Amino acid sequence: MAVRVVTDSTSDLPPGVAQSLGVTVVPCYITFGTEDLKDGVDLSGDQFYERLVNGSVFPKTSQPSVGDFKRVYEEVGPGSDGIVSVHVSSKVSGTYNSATQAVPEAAVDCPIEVIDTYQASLAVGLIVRETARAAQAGGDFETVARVARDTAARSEFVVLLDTLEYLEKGGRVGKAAALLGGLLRIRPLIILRDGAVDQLAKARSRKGGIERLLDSAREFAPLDEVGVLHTTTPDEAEALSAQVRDLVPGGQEPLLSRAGPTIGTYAGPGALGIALVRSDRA
Amino acid sequence: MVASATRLFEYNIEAINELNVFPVPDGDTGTNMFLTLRDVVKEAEGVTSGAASDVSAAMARGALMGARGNSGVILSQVFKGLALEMEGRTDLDADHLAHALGRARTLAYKAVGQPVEGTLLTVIASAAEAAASVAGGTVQEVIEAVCDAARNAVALTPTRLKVLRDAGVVDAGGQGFLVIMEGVRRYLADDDPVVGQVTVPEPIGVDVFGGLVSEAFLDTTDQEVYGYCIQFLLAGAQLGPDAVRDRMAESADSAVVVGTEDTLKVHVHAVEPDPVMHLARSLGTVSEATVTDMDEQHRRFSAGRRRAAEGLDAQQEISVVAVVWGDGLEQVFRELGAAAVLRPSGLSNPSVNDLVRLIETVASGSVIVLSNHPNVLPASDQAAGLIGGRAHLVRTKTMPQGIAAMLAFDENKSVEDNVDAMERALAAVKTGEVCYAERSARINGRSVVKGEIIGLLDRDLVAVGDDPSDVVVSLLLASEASSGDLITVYWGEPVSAEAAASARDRVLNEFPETEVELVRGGQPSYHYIVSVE
Repeated sequence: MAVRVVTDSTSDLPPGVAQSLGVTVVPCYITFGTEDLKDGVDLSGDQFYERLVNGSVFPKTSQPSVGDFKRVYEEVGPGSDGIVSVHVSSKVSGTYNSATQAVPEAAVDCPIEVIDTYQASLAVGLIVRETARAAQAGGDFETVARVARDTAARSEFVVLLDTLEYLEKGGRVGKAAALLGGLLRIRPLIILRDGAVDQLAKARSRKGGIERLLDSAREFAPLDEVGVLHTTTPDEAEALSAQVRDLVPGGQEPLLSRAGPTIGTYAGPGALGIALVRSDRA
Repeated sequence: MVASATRLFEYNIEAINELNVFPVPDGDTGTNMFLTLRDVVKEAEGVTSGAASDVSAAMARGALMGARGNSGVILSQVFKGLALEMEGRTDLDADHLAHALGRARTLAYKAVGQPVEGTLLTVIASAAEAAASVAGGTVQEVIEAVCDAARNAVALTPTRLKVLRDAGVVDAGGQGFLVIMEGVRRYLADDDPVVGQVTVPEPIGVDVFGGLVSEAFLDTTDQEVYGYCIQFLLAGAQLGPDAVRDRMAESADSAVVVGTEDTLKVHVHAVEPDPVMHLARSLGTVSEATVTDMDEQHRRFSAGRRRAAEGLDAQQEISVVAVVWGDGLEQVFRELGAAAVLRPSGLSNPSVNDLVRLIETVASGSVIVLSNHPNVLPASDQAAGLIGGRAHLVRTKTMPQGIAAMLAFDENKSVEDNVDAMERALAAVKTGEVCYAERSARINGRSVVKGEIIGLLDRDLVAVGDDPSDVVVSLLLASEASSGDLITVYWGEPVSAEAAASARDRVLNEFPETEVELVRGGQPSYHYIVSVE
C-alpha cells in the first residue's frame, strides 16, 4: 500500500490538510514548568499563545523521542512500500536526529528515508504536502523520496518577527543576535539559510516589515507553492495571503496556517511568515 | 630619509595588520603606524630651513597630532626623543642618534600606563641598547646595529608575551618599527631598493606558525569583549600627561597619553565611550575625537582572516562609517552596525582630514560614508576623493536619513547594490527638526524672532512657536505624518526626559493610527529630531 509520509508537528501543516493527505504527524513536546504537553494534541493554539504571552513560566520545547518515531514507523510501516520521514532542519532541532536513530530500532521490513529539509515550520509543511501528493499519485519509494529532497532544495522560509525576545529566550537567535536590546525598536526579518536562522533585513514599522516580507517573497518568484504563517494575527495573514496569491502561476490558494506551539514558542506573538517553493522552470 | 621609510612602510601595511593581536586583535597596527608616519612626513615637508633641529621638531609635532592607535602614539615618542636630542643642532651624528633612541625608550615607556614587554616598547629598548653599544661609529653603523637588534627583538617577542605565543605571530608594532628602521637603513645604504616587503622574522618560542594569526587563536577570542578605542586631542588641560593618564585609568585601560600641557594626545580602550569622553571634557577642550568599535573591528578581522584561509578576498568586506551629533544617536548608529562614528564637538562640522581619518579607521575593502548633514557633504566628497575608489558616499542630509540608510545596509550584498538600496531608503524618510531660531528673519513668508522655536521639515521652515512640543506637532501635521507608518522622536540635550515623554504623548494623541517611538538622541541644540517613514 504505497509509500507513507511522516513528519513532526513543527511542520505546521493544518491538521485537516495532514489528514486528507494521509500524513502522520509526530508531536513535539511543550513543557510549562513541570506540565508536559504534546504539541497540537493537548494544547490548542489560543490557549497556548495566551499562556506564552501572559504566563509566568516560559515554555520549553523538546523533540519527539527515538521511541516516539520507532512506534510511528512500526505503525505505518507494515504493508507499505517505504516510509519518507520529512523533518525540520537539524541545525535548529534534534528531531531529525531522533528520527534517524529510530530507523535501525524500528522493526519494519520496508525502507525508511529520513530527510533533513534544512527548513522549518510551514516550509517543511509545503515540502511534506508535495511529498504526500507524490505518494498519493502512486510514486514508488525512490520517487517520493526524490520529490522530498528536490522540493526541500527549492524551499525558502522568511519570517517577520514582532520581537526577537522569544527567539532569544528559546536560544535560537543565531546570527540575528546583533539586533537585540538596541535603542531603536527593530522588527527583524529572518530567513532559514543553510538550515540555520539568519537575519535578512531590518524593519522598523510593522507595515514596513510586511512590505519587506512581501518583497523578499517576490524576489524568489516564480513559485510553485506558497504558504502564509501567523502566530496571533489571522487578519493580517489573510491580507498577506491575498497579496502573495499572484506569485504562483495559476493562482492557487496559498496554504494558510497558524504556527503550532513549538514554532510559536520561538516566533512569539505577532509573527508573520511566508513559506515557498521556488519554481524549477525559471 | 623618513619619507623613504614611510614609502617602504606603505608596502608593508597589510603584512603588519595581519600580525595584530595585542592588545586587541583588530588588524589595524600597520594602518595606524602608517598614518602617523604620513603626518610626520607632511609636517617635515613644510619646514624650509633645513636645520636638523627644525625638521625633527616638525616631525615630532606631526607625530603627536597624527598619532593613531597605541602603536602610533608610542611611535610618536621616538620622534619626540629625536626632537629633544636635536634641539639647537644642525646635523645628526651617530652619538646623537644613539642618545635620541635612548630618550625615545624612556619616553615611550612613560607614555604607557602599564608597559607590557614583548611589544613595540621592547623592540625600541633593544634598538636603543644596540645603538648605544656602537658609540663612536657612523650613523650608518648605528642604523645597521639597530636593524639587527630590532630583527632579533621582534623574533623574540613571543617569548615575552603569551598572547603572541598563542596566536603564533610576532608583535605587529615591533615589526612596524623594524620596517621603519629598515627603510632608513636602505636609504642610507643607497644600494637596496627602498620598496618591497620586509621579511617578518620567524617567531621564536611558538608551536604554530603559518606566518598568520592562527585560527585556533581567533576561536578563543571570539567571545571577548574589547569595547571601544577612543582617541582625541586634549587642549588646555592644565595637567601633565601623567596626571591625565592616571585620571583616564579610572574608566579605561591601555591608556597612552603623550604631549605637552598645551596639547595632549590621548588613546584609551574602554568598554563604554561616554564616561571617558565625559571625563575628558571635564579636563579640557576635546577635539578630533574618534571612537572605534573594536569588537566590530575584531569581528571583521577574524572574518577576514578566516576567509583568507578559505582563499577568499578580505577586500570584499564593506563597512559603514557615519558622522553623528549626540551620544544617543551615536549609539543608535553603532547598534545598527556602523564600524566607526565621528562625533564632532557641539554642532561643528568635521574637516576633510577628520573625514579621511574616519574612513581610514576601518580596514575593509569598501567603506560607505554617511555624512548626515548637508554641510558635511562637500568635505565628504573631498575625503572620498582623497581616499580613492574604496570610499563610497551615500548622501544623507539628516540623521534620520542616515538611520534609514543603515537599516537598508546588507553586508552580504555588493557595495553598488548597498549604495543603491541605502539611497532609496533615505528618500523614503521625512525629517523634522526643532530648535531655537538663532536670529530674527523672514523666511517663506513667515517672520521669525530670535529665540522662538522653529520647526524645519526637510530643512524648510514650516512651523514657529514658543513651545517645542507644539512645534513638533505642527511640524508633523505639515509632514502629513498620519499617512506614515512610524514616527520616531529623538529628544536632544535642550529637553528633559519628562518633557520628551509628554511630547511623545501629544504626538500619540494627534496621530492615533501611527506607531510612535521615543528615543534619546542626546543631540546638541536641537530639542527634537523627528522622522516620519
